[in-house]
Amino acid sequence: MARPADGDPGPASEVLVREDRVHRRLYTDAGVFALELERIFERTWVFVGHESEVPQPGDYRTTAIGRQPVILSRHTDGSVHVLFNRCMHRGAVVCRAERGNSTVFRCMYHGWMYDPSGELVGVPFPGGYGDGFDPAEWGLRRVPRVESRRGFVFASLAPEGEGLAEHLGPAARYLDLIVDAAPAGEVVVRAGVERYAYAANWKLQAENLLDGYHPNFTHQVAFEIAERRRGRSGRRANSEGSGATARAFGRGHGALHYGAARRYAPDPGDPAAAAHRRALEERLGPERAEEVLGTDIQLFVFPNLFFQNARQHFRVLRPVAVDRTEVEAYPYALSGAPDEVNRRQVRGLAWWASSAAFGQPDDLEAFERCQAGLQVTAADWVLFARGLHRERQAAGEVVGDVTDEVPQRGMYREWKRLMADGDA
Amino acid sequence: METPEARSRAAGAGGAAPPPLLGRAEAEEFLYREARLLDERRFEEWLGLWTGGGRYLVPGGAGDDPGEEAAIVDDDRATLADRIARLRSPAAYAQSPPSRTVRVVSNVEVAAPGAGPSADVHSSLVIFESRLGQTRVVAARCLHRLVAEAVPAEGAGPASPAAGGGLWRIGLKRVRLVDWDRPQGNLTFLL
Ligand code: FES
Ligand SMILES: [Fe+2]
Repeated sequence: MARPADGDPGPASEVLVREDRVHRRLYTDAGVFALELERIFERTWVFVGHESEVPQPGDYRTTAIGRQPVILSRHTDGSVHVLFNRCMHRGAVVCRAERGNSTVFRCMYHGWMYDPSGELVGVPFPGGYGDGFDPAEWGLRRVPRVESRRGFVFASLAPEGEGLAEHLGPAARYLDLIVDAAPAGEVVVRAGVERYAYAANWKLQAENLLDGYHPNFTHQVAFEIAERRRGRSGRRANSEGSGATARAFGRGHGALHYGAARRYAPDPGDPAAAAHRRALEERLGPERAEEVLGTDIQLFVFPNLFFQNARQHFRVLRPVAVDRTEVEAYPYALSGAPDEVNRRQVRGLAWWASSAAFGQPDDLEAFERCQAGLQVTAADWVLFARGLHRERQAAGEVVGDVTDEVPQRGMYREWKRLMADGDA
Repeated sequence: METPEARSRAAGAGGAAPPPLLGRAEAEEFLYREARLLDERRFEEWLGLWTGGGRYLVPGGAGDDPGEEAAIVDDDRATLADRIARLRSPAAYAQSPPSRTVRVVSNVEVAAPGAGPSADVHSSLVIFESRLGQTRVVAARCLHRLVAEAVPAEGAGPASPAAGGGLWRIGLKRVRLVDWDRPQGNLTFLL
């Protein structure tokens, strides 16, 4: 990879990442960060938004892919588009609002107008451009590749490369498992969002989302409070030997799969949960319904998307600077499930994942402490060796104990592959 | 907005002396006291200001329904007690070391009280929060729905004629952050 641009020539990616460790410069070096935006976020498949966020023709939401502002829009014909949010006249961002509905995007600067598929449909005083001007050439630029799975829209700025299904690999199966919990077969993203920011590198959150080693320590107080409220405690699923597993799928994706150690399905004694189960059995049959409701899974889709089915939400990572990251946690509704099931989950998210919550803020404290500690130059390496000697291959997945750093090693293999691509 | 004073006068024109209503000065005293208890980390006394059915809400969306739009804080009284237990634990790392706060409460207005012995108090809140060498400003509009409770707990505050000789208690506190739609930093101290 190119040398970081801070004066020190620095090591290349092949020496920044080893099988069991990564260099501290992955977290502290602004040159590495700039290259990550270019070679990871602006190249590989990244999650953009969910189709249910733009249900009606003309609905749009704005977001970014790496540094580049984009619009997720639904055209009048129902098709979904990902457009660069950049006026083709002189460059202004065309949509400022985060969300809205409009069948015409009108640039505020000189009034050029585009439809939700990006076509240029109006130019004020067009005579000024002469006869050679062809509006068909001046539509909003489209993101080169857009594909979706179960309504989750991914995009890639690379004009060519493997398709989304190939890229997701086994992660697709788990995404299906998560969405299959909806009796109508789809999820709806329309219940607000938890947004938080922290002063540390984006990869600290990416590592942490599938870190089954930390919860007993970082979240001890939250667990104690929850267990006191429930009136029971016991062996926690995030303990060595619980039977839960940490997995890596290739392409940087991975999961924590809780197996028999912890179930996803809420207590069947609850009437809303029982109705949910019945609806699901009707649609999927009892066997698949049990698989769906029994599997507690946390899934990370590299580089920016995470799911936790037990808390019915997904999170989206946004790298802002080498030491600043923003995260959005979206509750999703299981279409066809009782309102009570969905409402309860939305309310539960405030308890765990808001910026004032009982759980997640302690993770952010850990990330900021890591960012501070990693300024030390006397130690170069961040260690991901846990469980390396005992991980195993099974059906295209690398599998280890839930407390092992299997997914993190997988993530950094992909990081290294993407970052090295482009070196002379 | 009809002022409580105007309501008192209007009701008084009819004959029997009306019960006094919550005035701005008393509402301010209540809010100032609440602010002081929070700034001084006297959380258990602060919890004493709440009704048993109290709700504490920091919306994360444009609306007020935490089941429709994910909230930043959506606490009932029991969860508030948990929150305080958490703040008292040295292992709640996001508050270890704890935030120091100074809060300014201003623009207090008592809205027309609804049916029954309750009153809505609106205010502006600015919190200066200092932790780990950084000072932040958190700004919000607050609604306190105060409810008169008949039985004063010992040491829980001055009895009020406007509260029927009982005490004003917080039935609902809603804190609407000015930047509720932006990514928030650490908000694990009490707003
Ligand atoms: S920059 Fe958009 S119309 Fe000129
Ligand atoms: Fe955590």
